[in-house]
Amino acid sequence: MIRSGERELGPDAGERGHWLDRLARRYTRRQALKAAAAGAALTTFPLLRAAPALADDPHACQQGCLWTSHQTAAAGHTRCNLTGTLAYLLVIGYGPALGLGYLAFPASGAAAIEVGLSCSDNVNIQQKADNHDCLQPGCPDFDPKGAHGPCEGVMNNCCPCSNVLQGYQPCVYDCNDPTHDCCGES
Amino acid sequence: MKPTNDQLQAVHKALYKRSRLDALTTLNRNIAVLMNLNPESELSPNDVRNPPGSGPTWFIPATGAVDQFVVEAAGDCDKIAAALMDMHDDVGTVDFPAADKQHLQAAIAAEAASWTARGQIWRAPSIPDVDAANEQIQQHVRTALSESQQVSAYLKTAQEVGQ
Repeated sequence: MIRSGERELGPDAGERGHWLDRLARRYTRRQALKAAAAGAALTTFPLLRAAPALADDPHACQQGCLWTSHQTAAAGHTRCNLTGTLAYLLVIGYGPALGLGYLAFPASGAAAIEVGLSCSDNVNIQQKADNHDCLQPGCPDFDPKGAHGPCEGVMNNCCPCSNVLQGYQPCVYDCNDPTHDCCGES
Repeated sequence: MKPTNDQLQAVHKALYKRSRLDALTTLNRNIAVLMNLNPESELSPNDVRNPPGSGPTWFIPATGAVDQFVVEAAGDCDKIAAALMDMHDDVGTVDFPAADKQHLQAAIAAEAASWTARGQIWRAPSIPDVDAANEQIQQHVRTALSESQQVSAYLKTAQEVGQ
């Protein structure tokens, strides 16, 4: 119902009408106090701004998922180098060692080369599969608290946060808490 | 039947042609850069591919298409395979014991096939079956290794050819 002194907004005026119309509107004392308190809170406690709806975004996990895939791959390549031998490091024509595998296949190192190459190729292909999963809604099979994840070992909540490279931020508050934002501005 | 010194030298000349070795080295280094496979490379602290050597960004998040760097690296895999097949053909023109020639060419062809397989797997828009895709590469690697062990007398290490 429209009270005296208020104008009825036409269908094209938008949801909240023109800003001049809103200025002209009367506000109760309670509304004014609420608005003032909210403004003060926003300027005084920038980290307590209402959390963005990241936690509800099915792709909010993407950045952290991709970051994790790189940590996992790095650990995998390290493991491959350890399972190989010096021959692997020097001779393989593929991967971190930048060797030239096609020039010689010394019989003494053949087994290590085979193991090392298979390991490196496997890490690479697995990372491709993981990357693909990261682009799917909800990042299937990704756990930010899992091995190599941005919140590995964290007991608190772990909230999506595009402001940090790892894509997640540990947080004592619930990720969906509208009054707290652990991500903040970088 | 053992190869003569002249035969060995002729095979080495076909295998280790300097221009081809340089091209292969360059392609290998390109791949390491494009695929972020060198742990000693320098990446910006804000690069999503950190840490160095941890692989590429495989897909463009906005489109889901395979990243251009990966596609380019897959093309370099094809070029390595082509260079190896040139090596295979050059070896074919050299006169040395037929059984050795067969093993050596089989080793080189298998190594080339492993690179072709890598290129195909890397650039494929679909999600790989990890074990099957890896086996697709490793079957060629195993062949290359077993065949080359039959003709190790003809082969030099990377250090020996100065690469």
